[in-house]
Amino acid sequence: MSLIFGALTRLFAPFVWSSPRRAARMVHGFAHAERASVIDMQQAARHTPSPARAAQYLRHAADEWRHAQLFARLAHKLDAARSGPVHVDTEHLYDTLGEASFLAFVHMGEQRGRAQFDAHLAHLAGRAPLPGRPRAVIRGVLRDEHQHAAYTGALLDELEPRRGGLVARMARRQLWRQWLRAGRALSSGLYLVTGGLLYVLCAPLFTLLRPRG
Amino acid sequence: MATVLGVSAHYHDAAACLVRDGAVVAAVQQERISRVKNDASFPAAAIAQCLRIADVDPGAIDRAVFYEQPFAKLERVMRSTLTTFPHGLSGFVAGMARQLGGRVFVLDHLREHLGLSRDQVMAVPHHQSHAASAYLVSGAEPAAVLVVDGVGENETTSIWHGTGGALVPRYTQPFPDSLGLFYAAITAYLGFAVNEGEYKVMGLAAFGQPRLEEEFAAFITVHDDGSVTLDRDTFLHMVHPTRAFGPRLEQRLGPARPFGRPWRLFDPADAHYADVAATAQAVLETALLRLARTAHRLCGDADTLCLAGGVALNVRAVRRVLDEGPFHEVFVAPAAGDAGGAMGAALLGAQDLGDDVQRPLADAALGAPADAARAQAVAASLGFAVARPSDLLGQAARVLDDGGLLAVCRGRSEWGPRALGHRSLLARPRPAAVQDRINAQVKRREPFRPLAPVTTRDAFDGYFGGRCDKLQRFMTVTNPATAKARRDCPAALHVDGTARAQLVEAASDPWLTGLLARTAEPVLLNTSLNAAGEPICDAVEDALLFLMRHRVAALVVDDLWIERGRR
Repeated sequence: MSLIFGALTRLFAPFVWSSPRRAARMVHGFAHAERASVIDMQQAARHTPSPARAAQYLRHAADEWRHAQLFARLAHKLDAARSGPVHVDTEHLYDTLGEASFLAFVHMGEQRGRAQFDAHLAHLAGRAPLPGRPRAVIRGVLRDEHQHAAYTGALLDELEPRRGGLVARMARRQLWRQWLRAGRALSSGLYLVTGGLLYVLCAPLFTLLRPRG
Repeated sequence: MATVLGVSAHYHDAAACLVRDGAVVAAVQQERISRVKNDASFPAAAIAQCLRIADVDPGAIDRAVFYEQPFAKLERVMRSTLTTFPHGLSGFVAGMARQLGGRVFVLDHLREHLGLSRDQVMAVPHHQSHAASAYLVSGAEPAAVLVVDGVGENETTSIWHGTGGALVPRYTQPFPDSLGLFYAAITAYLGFAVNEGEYKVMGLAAFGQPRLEEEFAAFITVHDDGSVTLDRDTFLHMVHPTRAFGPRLEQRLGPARPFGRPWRLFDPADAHYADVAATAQAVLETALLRLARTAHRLCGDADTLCLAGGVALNVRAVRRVLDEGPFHEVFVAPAAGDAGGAMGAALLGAQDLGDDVQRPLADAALGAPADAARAQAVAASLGFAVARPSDLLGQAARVLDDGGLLAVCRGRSEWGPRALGHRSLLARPRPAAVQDRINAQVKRREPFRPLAPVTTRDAFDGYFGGRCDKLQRFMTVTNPATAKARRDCPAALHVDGTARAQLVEAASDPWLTGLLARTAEPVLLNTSLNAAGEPICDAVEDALLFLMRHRVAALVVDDLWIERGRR
């Protein structure tokens, strides 16, 4: 799956990096993802029964926190207008999946991230430097992503020696998430239209309630 | 003799509170567990935490109470957006998506989640929840209760007469004229996040002058009774649930300040924004003071005013009400905002089942206890130096006196937005540069944000004036600093010479009073243990992550002393 993500990133990278505004938007999205990851790892550290694994999750969370800050700063440097708050949310992945599946999910996410960052670096190589030195930032983050993929892989082997099935399940889950996201986008559009129509139909009745004077 | 769960959710600051036999036994904000600041989602984790703390099985819950009436709120959203046709189109679409996306079904969600029958789940009005969260735990009898927030179902301000444990409504101001939403709009105009940045506006106000009264008079009128009238073309909350203000406000006050731009308070542009904050603060204080007078008139036998709702967190306004208002005492509960609604709802539910719920709240430490054994094991795995010093207080005092920062995670976590010494970052309150150091290096926040002092009863009057015991325990009012405070603890004072001082007593917190007895001065700087944009730490893992990311001398977890990377 990471190969697909890498290929897609290579395809879109020239388009994204050709505009500082688009690049800033994408990098701001990275900051958002890293902040969400801090929360996931922090929740995992709280819930795992193993203090040793809790320590590893906390180290991971500290890295992600640093990445989020680096990306937020980079987004601002690429486009000063891109300085909105980095909103975070959580899917409570550890609670929902359990530790082994959570690790498989994180492991795959790190591999996917690595493939995407590799593709961005390949695109940026040899091009004119951009504000905020995105290559240096991405290269620094990439080093950590390698380490994260390695330790989550090792922990996964420890918790689930036959991890093939688990990884396949998580890959399916990831595809299902993408499908749901697309469904949500479509239903949001439909809702906007029907909500607007409903408003136009109902409003004349309610204007009678409008206070006079 | 009932077990009642109160819940607030789906607007901001979701929380759960458990009341058993009329006493509050646990209260937890969802953000502390989910780690999402101001988390408004259904507080499943906070509910589970409350049940764990009290060792109660969901099956043992007699009643679950939601802090507002979902269908009344739905009706208000529909009415306000439909009667403003055609401007309310986007507000209707967005607002209905929020309401129908889960909010109106919250009672069913609660029933299913806890496995209760439908008649075990009830909802109480939003402002009544707020009023109960202050009056029933204030220890005052009788009391006037003033609730001021953005908006509940339809009320934005209400006055209640609390007598014999009952709350009798005396006055309400309906939506859309709202003091809370006015302040929220100014918060957004100044480039801060609504429902989060209001206290930044209050801090910024001290750097400006309230010289824009004429401009403000064009869009807000404060009447003699404290009610307000807002200009419908300036404020947009009537037509949109998330957009606070329209172009008319920028025509009056100049362009809104972009989010995230670094503050330079001596730059004329930022000085103007400080004046906007100062004027907004002055308007808010005037309105609150007039409302307090109205409350006194309507509840003639009451000596105490209980304040609740998000506006009650404005500690400067509370000071003015205390000093210039007609009441002898003022009480503000530690969680005056929406989280506090969960406590009010639980107390009202227990009262409805016949329990006597009227008892003073002695302590805000209502969350989960720190797990020192777990902290020791995880810290050891991180390679941190972990010790159990024989004289921990002496060691802590030495570190603080030497200028070190000390992170503290001990006992049960606090309820409400203030860290009161259980999940705190402590420092020596001098020199003044300590404040800048903490703001810039640790909290990574605006330079105008004040830090608060904590001191003992014996020392309090030497450093601060205007003591009000009901408020000092929970850090819900400002105090003027004395000359001694200006000399000895400048880092804990705001630019206007006030401080949001906390008073601790040996009976309720022997550890912190013991520490204050060992430091060079009996005053410490006390700020919440959290990184920028994050909720206050709750579990020991959160505190360890804080230690990993910040330059602090050590972390104290109960009787453990943890330092980074020296094993």
